[in-house]
Amino acid sequence: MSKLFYPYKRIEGDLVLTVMSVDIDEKDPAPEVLTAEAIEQRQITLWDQEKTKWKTVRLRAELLGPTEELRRHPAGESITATLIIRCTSTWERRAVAMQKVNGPDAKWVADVELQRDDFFGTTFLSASLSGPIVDVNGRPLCSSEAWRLHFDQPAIDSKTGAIAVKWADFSNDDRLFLKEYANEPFFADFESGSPTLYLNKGGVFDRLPTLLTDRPRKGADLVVHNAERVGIARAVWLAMLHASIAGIRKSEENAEPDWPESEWQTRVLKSVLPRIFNQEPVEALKSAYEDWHMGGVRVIESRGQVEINKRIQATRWLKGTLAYFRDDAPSEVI
Amino acid sequence: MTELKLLRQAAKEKLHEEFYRGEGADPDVGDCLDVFHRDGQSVDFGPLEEVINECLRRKWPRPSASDQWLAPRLHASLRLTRREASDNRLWIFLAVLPLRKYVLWRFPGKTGTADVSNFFGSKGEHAIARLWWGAELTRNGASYSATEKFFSNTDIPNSWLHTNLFRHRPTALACVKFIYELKVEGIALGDLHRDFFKAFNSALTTNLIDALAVSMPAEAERAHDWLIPAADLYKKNIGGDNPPEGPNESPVNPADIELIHQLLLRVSKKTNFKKRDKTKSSETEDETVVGNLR
Repeated sequence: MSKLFYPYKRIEGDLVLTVMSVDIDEKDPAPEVLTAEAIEQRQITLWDQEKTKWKTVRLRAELLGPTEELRRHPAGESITATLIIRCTSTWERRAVAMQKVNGPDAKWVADVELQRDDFFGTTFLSASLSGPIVDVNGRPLCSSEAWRLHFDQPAIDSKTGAIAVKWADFSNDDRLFLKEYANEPFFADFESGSPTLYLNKGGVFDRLPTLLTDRPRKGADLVVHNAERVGIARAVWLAMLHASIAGIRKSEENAEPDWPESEWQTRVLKSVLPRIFNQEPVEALKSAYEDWHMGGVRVIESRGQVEINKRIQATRWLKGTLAYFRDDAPSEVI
Repeated sequence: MTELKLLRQAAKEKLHEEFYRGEGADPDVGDCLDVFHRDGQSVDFGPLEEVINECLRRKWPRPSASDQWLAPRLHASLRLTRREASDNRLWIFLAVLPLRKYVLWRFPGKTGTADVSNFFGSKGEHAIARLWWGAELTRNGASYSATEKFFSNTDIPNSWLHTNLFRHRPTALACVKFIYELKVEGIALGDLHRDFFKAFNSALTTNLIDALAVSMPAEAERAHDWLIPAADLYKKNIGGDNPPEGPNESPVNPADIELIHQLLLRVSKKTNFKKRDKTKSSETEDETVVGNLR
């Protein structure tokens, strides 16, 4: 068995996709969707528009590639850019050819119009460069990180729960608590107002973004990505669950337990406990409190791990990984 | 009017084994029902009910053989947007309540007990949703010819419907055309397509189908017109042997389908097809095979 990530020269530099403008039914969105925070997180929220029955969203997307590297690549001028729109809920998978912008930079643009009737939940927008390699067109060379278009209010993120995810160079960050963990690949902060998962892109982890960022992946690249992602997601989910359990309140000895004061802890518990205990949320909260105070947390620990594995789809990714190493997999590039 | 409604997953807790065996009266799940509205109006699923009744009236060599006839007619008579169709509650309602008889007939189970997934499962597992989504992914403009072909052997939708690659319409159409053209002496279609699927899935590591064939621009007005058919249009679509017409949208460029077809040919030449000692018959067991997702 011989496995190669890619048997041809790919593009290693950054491919940056930016949504430059958005309009809703040919008008400016209200509220504004391209806020500074939205651009930083690559998320566009559409579900809370004042005009609730809007029908069409139009986006202008710009793609910027590593100019020098692209100029030197064997595929050269034949390299093309494709904008890919995927929605898991409605099984949409659309491809839009991007137009090269004349000028010194490796830049492409595309205008895309999406009908609300074709999408539900969260839709992913990413771009890929491809080109001919040895007379075969369409060889993928690199992909951008994905933008999330939230057509509807998202449920708790299955990978990270109620937690925001941010990249930072821990060793050079102004936040002192991150400097303390400069030798760690990630740090989950539950002490600040809202929980945040910090991923380290500094020092020996400078290639971690390449491994973890959301972009289309295949083969061994996908296998390694999923293994690391699942490991981090499991650790973070367990930590959130424990922190949330600890937040359960009980005002008096004989009173019923109450949800944590923190909104994110309540969301985590409401999402997970009913499945752990197979009860309605309020009953599950009581059971969780009893297990915590009188049961040594045994039920939560044992069933909680199974529930978390389901949530992060750990078994599915493991199956995919194992299938990748099957003996009858093709050993040459097609 | 037969009003389309939504039934929540919670209804599952109220159903017992006798329900899945087809025994007992309609279940008491009224408190799990939600309203379905489109622009403030109810939607009538009466034409779908007529299509299902006609399907049950006809004689088939086996229930799975009806998929080929039913899928396009189901899609043409229950006209939904993808957004509406993505709501699993809609399919649960249809399967548990008005169309339960069809589900039990089509998926009787090995021991006379249908599986829960036929009523509550995902798009590819649900007895009725799988037909609608299979038709939605394989229609080409107003033509359902690829849909009929797709459902002519249940091994094919069971394996391919779940996959990300099948959501790319030129690829879906090229696959349907190719899978049934593929012939290797001594190897059954079921074994052929399983080996081919693995090889094609691997080949997508180094072939970007989205770059090979971009999507047709959305035609919002035509899609909207499709939702509101003329009053007598259903009579022309249902009950007969002639396939119905789908949404009046532009078909996929044949050149794009051909580009993907060429990729499939290239893959097949390098695929190691193996004959298995025992191939599960699609007529006796509709097993869902979940391929690697791309």
